[in-house]
Amino acid sequence: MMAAQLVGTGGAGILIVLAPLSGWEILDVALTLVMLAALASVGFVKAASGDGAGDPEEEDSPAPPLRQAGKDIGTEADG
Amino acid sequence: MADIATYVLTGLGLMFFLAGTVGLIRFPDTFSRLHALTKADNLGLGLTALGIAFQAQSWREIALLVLIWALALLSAGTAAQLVARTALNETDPE
Amino acid sequence: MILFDATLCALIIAVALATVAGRDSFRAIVFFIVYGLFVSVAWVRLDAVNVALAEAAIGAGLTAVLFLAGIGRLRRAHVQADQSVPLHLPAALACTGLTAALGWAWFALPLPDRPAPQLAQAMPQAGVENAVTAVLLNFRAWDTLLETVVLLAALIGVWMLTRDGNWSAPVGVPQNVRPGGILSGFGRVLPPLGFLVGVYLVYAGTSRPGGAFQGGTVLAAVGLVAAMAGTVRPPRIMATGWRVALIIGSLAFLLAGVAGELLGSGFLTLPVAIAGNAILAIEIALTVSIAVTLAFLVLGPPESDGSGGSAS
Repeated sequence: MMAAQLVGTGGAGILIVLAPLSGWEILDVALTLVMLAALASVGFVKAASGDGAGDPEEEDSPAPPLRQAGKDIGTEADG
Repeated sequence: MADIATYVLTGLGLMFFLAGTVGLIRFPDTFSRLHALTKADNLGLGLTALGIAFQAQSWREIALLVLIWALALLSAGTAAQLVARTALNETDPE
Repeated sequence: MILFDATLCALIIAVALATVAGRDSFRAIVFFIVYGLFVSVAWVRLDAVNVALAEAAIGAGLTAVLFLAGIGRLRRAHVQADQSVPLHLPAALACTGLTAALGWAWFALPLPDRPAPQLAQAMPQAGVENAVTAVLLNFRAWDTLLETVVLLAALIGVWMLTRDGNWSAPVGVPQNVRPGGILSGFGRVLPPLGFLVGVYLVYAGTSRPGGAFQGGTVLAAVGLVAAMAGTVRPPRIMATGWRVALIIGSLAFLLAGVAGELLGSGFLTLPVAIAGNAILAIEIALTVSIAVTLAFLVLGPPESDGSGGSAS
């Protein structure tokens, strides 16, 4: 899940290093990437929450399914 | 002079990125991995941006670099908190 | 640099294979985002910064969130995934066939003539300095006009999935966010910054890489974060103001085309004197339309029945 954020930060790093070599307009691409990595992280957290639209910090949210290795999207526990 | 600063700072930044990635692979559970990711990657990005800023040709590029780093810091911090809470909910249902 | 490019190509293929292999949907989406990032860097290496911007925004960002929203909806409906089939054979065969056909076409077709000399000749009449924007909004404006209509048609297709009872509900799945928590705070801090970035991208599109599609996608992302963090409540389908925002891009384009006809230079041909300002005006209207259309596309059809349910 954190990988989305890592990709945004790492990608921005790669593009920043490329900027003096390939042109300074690349900084705009890095900026866009960081913005959309933020969106992707929020999307991941939402999708992993109990009912697909919740907040992980809520006290009374439906319990998210327990993650096992290699599981898919179905909910094992009821709720 | 500026070139030396660029090389040194960018090299340091890349080292931090590497450290963060190694931490991501080697640490045992989600929470320590998050810790490695956020600290190392944000510092790595900051140092890299600082190093490249020495090569900038106008204030516009420096402002863009600062904005990129600040935005990355903001969203990585938020994402780390939310992901940690999600992981906590998943491994320890109340 | 050759080593860098070769490593990039190998990484792109490896990540693409990793995306379609394996069962976990989350993992596949993560690999998809990584794939989008690498392809964006590849476009940068190929000197196509406009395309890199679009790839980073739409490919790596918006499409991934679309998939994630889909997973969220499936989770709400308590859909159990099909466990028995490890590989969907018809899809795999179709994709392999398509890849093989594309590869054969790449080698079999001759390289097209570069338009650079004619483009360089025509650029002074374009009104903008960015060659890509000039081609998109002036020389080949017809294609862009049709693209905006296609986007609108896609949105109507998505809205057709709404159940009759839900038609007057707000668009998308009702979100519940803890008030005063981190997510809702993020939803208040990020959108103003993102709005500035989006507007900057549109304005910069006249002289450096940028443009309506890229800026519009960033603005759509901003709206999506605000909606998902509960800061704003998504509008209803029947809201008049939002419907106007949806069509204003195509309308502005059509108006500009008709104005070109009335001013004597032909339909969708901008006279040189007003080309610069006309392109900027069209871009602004286009950005609004694209942002609203993309945000509505990702939010999806209304899910609740419109009665009660607060967003924050």
